[in-house]
Amino acid sequence: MKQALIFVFTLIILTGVAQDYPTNSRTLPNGMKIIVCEKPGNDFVEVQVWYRTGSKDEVPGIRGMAHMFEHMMFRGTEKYPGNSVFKLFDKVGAQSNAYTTFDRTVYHEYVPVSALRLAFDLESDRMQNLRVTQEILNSEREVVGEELRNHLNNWYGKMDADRYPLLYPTGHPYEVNVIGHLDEILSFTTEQCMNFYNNYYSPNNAFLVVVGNVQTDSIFTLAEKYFGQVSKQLNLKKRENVPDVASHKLLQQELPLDFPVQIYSYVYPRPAAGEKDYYALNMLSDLLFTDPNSILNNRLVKKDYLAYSINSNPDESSLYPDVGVIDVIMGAQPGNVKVKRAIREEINKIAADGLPQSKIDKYIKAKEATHVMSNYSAEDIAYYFGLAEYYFNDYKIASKEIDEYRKVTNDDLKRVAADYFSEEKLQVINIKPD
Amino acid sequence: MKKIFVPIIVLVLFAGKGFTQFKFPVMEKYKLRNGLEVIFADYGSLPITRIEVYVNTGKKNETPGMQNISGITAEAILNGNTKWNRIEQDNLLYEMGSGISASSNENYTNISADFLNKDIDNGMDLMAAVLLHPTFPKDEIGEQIRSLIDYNKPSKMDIGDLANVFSDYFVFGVNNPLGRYFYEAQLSRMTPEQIREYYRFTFTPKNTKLVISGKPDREKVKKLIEHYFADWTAAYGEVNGVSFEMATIKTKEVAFVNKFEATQSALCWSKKGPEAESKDAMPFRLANSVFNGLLFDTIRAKEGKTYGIGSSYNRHTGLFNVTTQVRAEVTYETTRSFERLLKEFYDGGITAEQLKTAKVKMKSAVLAMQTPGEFIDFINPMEYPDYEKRKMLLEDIEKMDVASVNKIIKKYFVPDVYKLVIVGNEAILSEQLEKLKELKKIPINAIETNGDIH
Repeated sequence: MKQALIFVFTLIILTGVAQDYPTNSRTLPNGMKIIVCEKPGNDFVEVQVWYRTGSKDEVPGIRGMAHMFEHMMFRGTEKYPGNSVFKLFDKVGAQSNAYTTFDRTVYHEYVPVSALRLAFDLESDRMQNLRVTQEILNSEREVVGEELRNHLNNWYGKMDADRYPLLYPTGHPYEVNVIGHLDEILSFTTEQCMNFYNNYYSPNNAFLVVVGNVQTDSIFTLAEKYFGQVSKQLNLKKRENVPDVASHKLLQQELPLDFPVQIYSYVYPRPAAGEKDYYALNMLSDLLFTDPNSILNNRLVKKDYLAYSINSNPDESSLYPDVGVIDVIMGAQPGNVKVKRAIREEINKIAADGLPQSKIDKYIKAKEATHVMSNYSAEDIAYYFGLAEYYFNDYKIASKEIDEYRKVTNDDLKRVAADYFSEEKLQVINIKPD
Repeated sequence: MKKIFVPIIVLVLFAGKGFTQFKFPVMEKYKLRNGLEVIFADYGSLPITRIEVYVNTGKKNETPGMQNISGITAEAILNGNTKWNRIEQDNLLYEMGSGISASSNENYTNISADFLNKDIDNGMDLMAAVLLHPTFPKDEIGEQIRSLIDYNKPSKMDIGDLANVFSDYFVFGVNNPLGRYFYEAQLSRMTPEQIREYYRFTFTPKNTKLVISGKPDREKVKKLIEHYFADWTAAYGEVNGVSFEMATIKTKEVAFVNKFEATQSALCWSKKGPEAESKDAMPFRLANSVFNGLLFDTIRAKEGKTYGIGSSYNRHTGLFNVTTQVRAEVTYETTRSFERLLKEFYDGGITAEQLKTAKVKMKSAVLAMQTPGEFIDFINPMEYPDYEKRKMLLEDIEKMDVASVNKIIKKYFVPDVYKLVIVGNEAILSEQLEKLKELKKIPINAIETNGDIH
């Protein structure tokens, strides 16, 4: 009876027009939410299983486990041993992959509609029946080790690894980069792996996004059949008392670089997704630094030729207050201090006078156009739904987010520039050849 | 009752539903009076128009001393034109939620952009200005070349990139444009005037194809094309007839490049594959798909030697390359694993089951297309001039049988016939390198001096 009541309750279908296709959701009795978007087009479907776990859940000794685990999820269960996941997806012409961030681990496949049952079967099976053997772990540890070494054999990856320990206060959920520590990765045990699986993989710590040429009801039925029977439940809560990134002082302001360019890394505090100033700060950093026609791209890169490029991490969302990092890359030559002065000058100008309204209007217009163009790819649509569901517990935000940007005023931008980009909070690491 | 009902529904909705036949759009092709070929091929349901321009010029056109002029020119046409400087042009693109990309390869240069249909007037105006009226400003070109030099110093480049560069050098040699790489002294001498001259000589209407896809208002777009492109004239008007000499690989040769302080080694094997238009191409691609799976299963999944390994076929050069990066200690072992796999593949061929999977994967690559950009890639008129033939791809895949693929394996996957370049740290690798017979050593600065292989 209790079960029946829960089922009735969760049958209430949440309907939205997230992105631009009919989209509905249902939550299974075990707490797993299913989001279905009926996107017309070819006979393929994007299937994404989002787990609310990432490197944020690691502790010393298992740094890199969330990402390692992403690899292990492709290495077999009792029912589908070894490389079966790859092989079975190959056989039906599906493309499958996964990625891990600080906050999340996402398994995604683009499968023919005719292979949906297979995708659901494989995903629900590895959600509950993963088998980690020492032999497979030994080879996969080396694979992940090579992934990390690839990163370190690239000049930018090496710089990123050298810089990373400076960015966060001790004890912050993001204090270690997702890839982790090589020595720890190479000594992971099957027990540590299974502990991570047991502690973070469950239907109520995950949700499913399906986008493609499908019928919503049939997907709900399939989801009920395959995921509905996974009974495991975890009671996971967001961490409290996370160390403050805004007051964190960089331990070093200079780093050596084995490459013939110079980088000013601008580091600043960023609110968690949806918190106060989240949208205003995103807009400001886009308009000032990172958009292709940003104020500083136009001035430093295209007009005065003082910098080669301005780069940043495009994934702006985070569960906890984070740091933003923007790299201004220049030729390694005397006189680059002009770049710092120019950046400070532009920030001060915005803090005092704001931005021309026409610039803000164009920003909104560009976002609207990008939104239409993003409707082509089922993977993109699923990604935006996933982000919205993960960070706002509401996939419909994906199509409403632009309204939040519309609400940002010039006064907001002035305030945010004066606060987050103040001399105290916007810290710079000077990275250059010895 | 509920328990019975659920599986029935599932069966009705999903049972037996295979791939439906792909509906290829009708292609409309015509030439403007100046010889510019225009192709319309609608794809997709969104109100977006995709514009792609193909210019028949690439690395094949780079004469000695002019290395990378095709790449620099492709990028430089985005640096401003007689109507808009770079900042104005980028502002306009930004406002439309668009961006133009330009790149070149061995054979051609490609410029592409998506525009919402409501912005197509501005979009076409902008594409025409970019393609027809670039100004190649001196300062922009200077900055572009400076950054190329900084990012491409051989002693600082990634080992994977170095392996690719030296592989071309080793396979084609410096007398072939594909074997020459750019370097500081050579790039420093390149002038905006040389770039303008290269542009004038190769960017001509007769040498260019304009492809429109998406869901355009066709009549309107035709008028815009007529308005912006019909009067395009060029000092040189003929079709570019330049090509390059294909490589020959008849024995096993191994070369080594020392990259100081590298903790990994990069390996790049090159083998001769079929020419793109030959009858061998289709069975070869199916065989290569299976070979790829074996490389992954063995060298990554079973042996844990690498994060990634793959065999890719280049239809321009007719070569296929297997590339990977491994930790230094297992460099020699990896060469042995590759040789073993190649021999087993050559001796054993493929099974019916493997061929079936390879066919499904190849067909899926077509059937899974979503965007007009992907569709234009598929019908790329520089690579697939015969659209009717291209449309038969799915049927052609289906016709392949095990015997014909195995015959091709015997022809192209011959053991001990390849060129291998290893880039790594000699200080760590010296003992392993001694095991490689007749190893040739290439100095890391050889691409800067066009030096000999020792």
